[in-house]
Amino acid sequence: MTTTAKAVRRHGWRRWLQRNIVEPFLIIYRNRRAFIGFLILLFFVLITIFGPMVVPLELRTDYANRFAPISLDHLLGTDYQGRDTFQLLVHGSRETLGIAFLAGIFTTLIAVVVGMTAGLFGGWVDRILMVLTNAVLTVPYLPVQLLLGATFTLRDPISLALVLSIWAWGSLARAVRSQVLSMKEREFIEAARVLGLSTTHIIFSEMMPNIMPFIAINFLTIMRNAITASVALMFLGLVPLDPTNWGMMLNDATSRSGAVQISVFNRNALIYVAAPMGAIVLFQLGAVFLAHGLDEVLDPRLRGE
Amino acid sequence: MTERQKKLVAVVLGITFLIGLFARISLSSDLAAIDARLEEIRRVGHSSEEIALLQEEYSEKGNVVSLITLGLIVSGLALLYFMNAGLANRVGFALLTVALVAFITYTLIRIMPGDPIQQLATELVRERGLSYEDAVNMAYTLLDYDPEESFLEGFADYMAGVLRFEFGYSWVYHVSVNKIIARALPWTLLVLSISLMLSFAIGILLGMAIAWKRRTALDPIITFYAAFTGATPDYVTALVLLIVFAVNLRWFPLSGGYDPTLDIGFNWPFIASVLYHAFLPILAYTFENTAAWALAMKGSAVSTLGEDYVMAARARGLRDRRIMVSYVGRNALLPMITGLAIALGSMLGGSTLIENIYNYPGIGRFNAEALVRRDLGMMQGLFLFQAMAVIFANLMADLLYTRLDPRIKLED
Repeated sequence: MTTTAKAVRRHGWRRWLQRNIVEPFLIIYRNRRAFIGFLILLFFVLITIFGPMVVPLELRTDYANRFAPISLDHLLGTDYQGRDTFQLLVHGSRETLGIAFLAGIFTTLIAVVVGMTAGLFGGWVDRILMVLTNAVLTVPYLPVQLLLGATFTLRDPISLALVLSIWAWGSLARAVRSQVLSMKEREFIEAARVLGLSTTHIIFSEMMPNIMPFIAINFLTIMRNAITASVALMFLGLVPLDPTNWGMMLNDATSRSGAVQISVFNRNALIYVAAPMGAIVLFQLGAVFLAHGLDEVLDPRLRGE
Repeated sequence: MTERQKKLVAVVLGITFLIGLFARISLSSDLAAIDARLEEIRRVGHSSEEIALLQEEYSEKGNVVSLITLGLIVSGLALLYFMNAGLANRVGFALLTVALVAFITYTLIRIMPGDPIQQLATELVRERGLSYEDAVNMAYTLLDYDPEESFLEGFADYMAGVLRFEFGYSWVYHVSVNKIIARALPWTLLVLSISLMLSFAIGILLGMAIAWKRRTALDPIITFYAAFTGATPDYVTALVLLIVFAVNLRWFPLSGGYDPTLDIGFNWPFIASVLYHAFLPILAYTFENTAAWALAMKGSAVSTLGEDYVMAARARGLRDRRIMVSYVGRNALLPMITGLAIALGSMLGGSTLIENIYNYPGIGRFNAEALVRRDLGMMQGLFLFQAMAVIFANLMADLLYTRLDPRIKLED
């Protein structure tokens, strides 16, 4: 925060806006794939923030109206209890995406701390941290999440987000470490050292801005994985959270409500089953597009193609 | 150390290793006999005295076996170090990872909320009609867990079990997890190996095709396909396939690994039924994984195409087909091998959900059942087994890669 404030004082608002908002946006805008991904994610962010204010939530059961078709009253039909599927999706987005966002932040924090420590300290600290990182990378992610989710009773979003990030930081930590190692040799860091600037200054003002875009791309991937894992946990019925959560909706749709079997003679039940899946896939697609597009923009080897 | 001393140490280590191996094999058959007797007694009656005696004997002999195994590992590793230091480093790291995973699973038992002993004991009382005291005693031995012990002592006990490849005891099925693995593993292996081979083969061919001929319609299609499967969790794909092909179209069965009315054996109707039941899970895995292989192969092939020897082959006027297969394909294929272990890991991870969706009798379905019914014993045993399998696969891929590509040397 202080660095931002300093930069603003030094160059004025206009320059800051240009560098941090306009230029990145233009980069995204010029790459078609990144821009589509950006629009999809923007759509989800808007729904998450404003959706629950605009769309009312009616959780009352209305059996006469179960598995209603798509209509103006029910944009995505109704579920096995006659609740509006669209309303559920909109209100569930906050928790679903919130958990993934939190997990992304926790994971990034762990990864940056581990990677930076290993890269900066070197020696035996580096060795121990890298053995740990390799272990995290070797043992696959989902089984660990499932084991943790079943061992602990998770009832709130924050502890779920913590569990989702414990085993997810491996690849980012390794990448941050190698970035730090290569930066250590570069002139601008040497110059900062010679000038006698403090280590905190070097880390936060010189190194961080350079790995930020890189972290941003990884953040998207981490969030995607967190959604996959959290929905998997809820799908198996391990984490009983809010019924509007997309994972809980999928669990309801496939197990308790019998909507999968009902779909044989009532096609409208398919809309209800497909809605949470569609929301998950669309969000993930947005994240994939944006991440790949940014990758292309930032990696000069890919830009030529 | 001189060359001669080195040789001497290696010979001594080798002899120790062989003696240890012999002792281990003869002792473990003893152990198996005691285990069989225990199981017999537990099934028929329950004279708790005899059980306690046998269990005492078992744990005594078991500890000896574990110690010998530990010695075998250490001497084997030392022997390996004399022959090939880089190789020993890799193997040592894999063993360290196994130890770390075992440590984590053990820590989870210790810090799990609620008393697992009491939980298992009440279950035993309810299902076996044991007296509560007997049940508690049995729970202690079954879990290899004693709350009186310190954390480290308990860990040593747990590791002794791991060294004997004992993956624990299922609270729900009341058999050892090893038996469950033995029953479920063939199913998982069948589905995973077929889908891994299929997706690998199709992906490699597609990747070669789009690397060879740029700017065809195939390239953007594959890129979108890869983005789509990357965005779709494998269980969503499995669910969609189930809903469309099994529930609504009824082309494929809803659940199970074979038709139970057939007699199990090496006959055509049974094999056909097994393949018929495995079709949808295999389709789900293959659909999910093919695109990633294609993209990886494309990347690898494109960089190989720029090599001088490809240019030289072209200059010599070799046919395209020959360049593509023998010059580009073979060399571009090499880096894919490390991907095999990673793919196996992610597929094994996804198997819990996919096998649960298709109710397929493999490791994953038992894992899902253990998770849902909070069968901590089975959960941790299966997790440890899966982790060990993936660590082993990674090690194998690593070694195979360095074997096949002489440019890469094992370093420390």
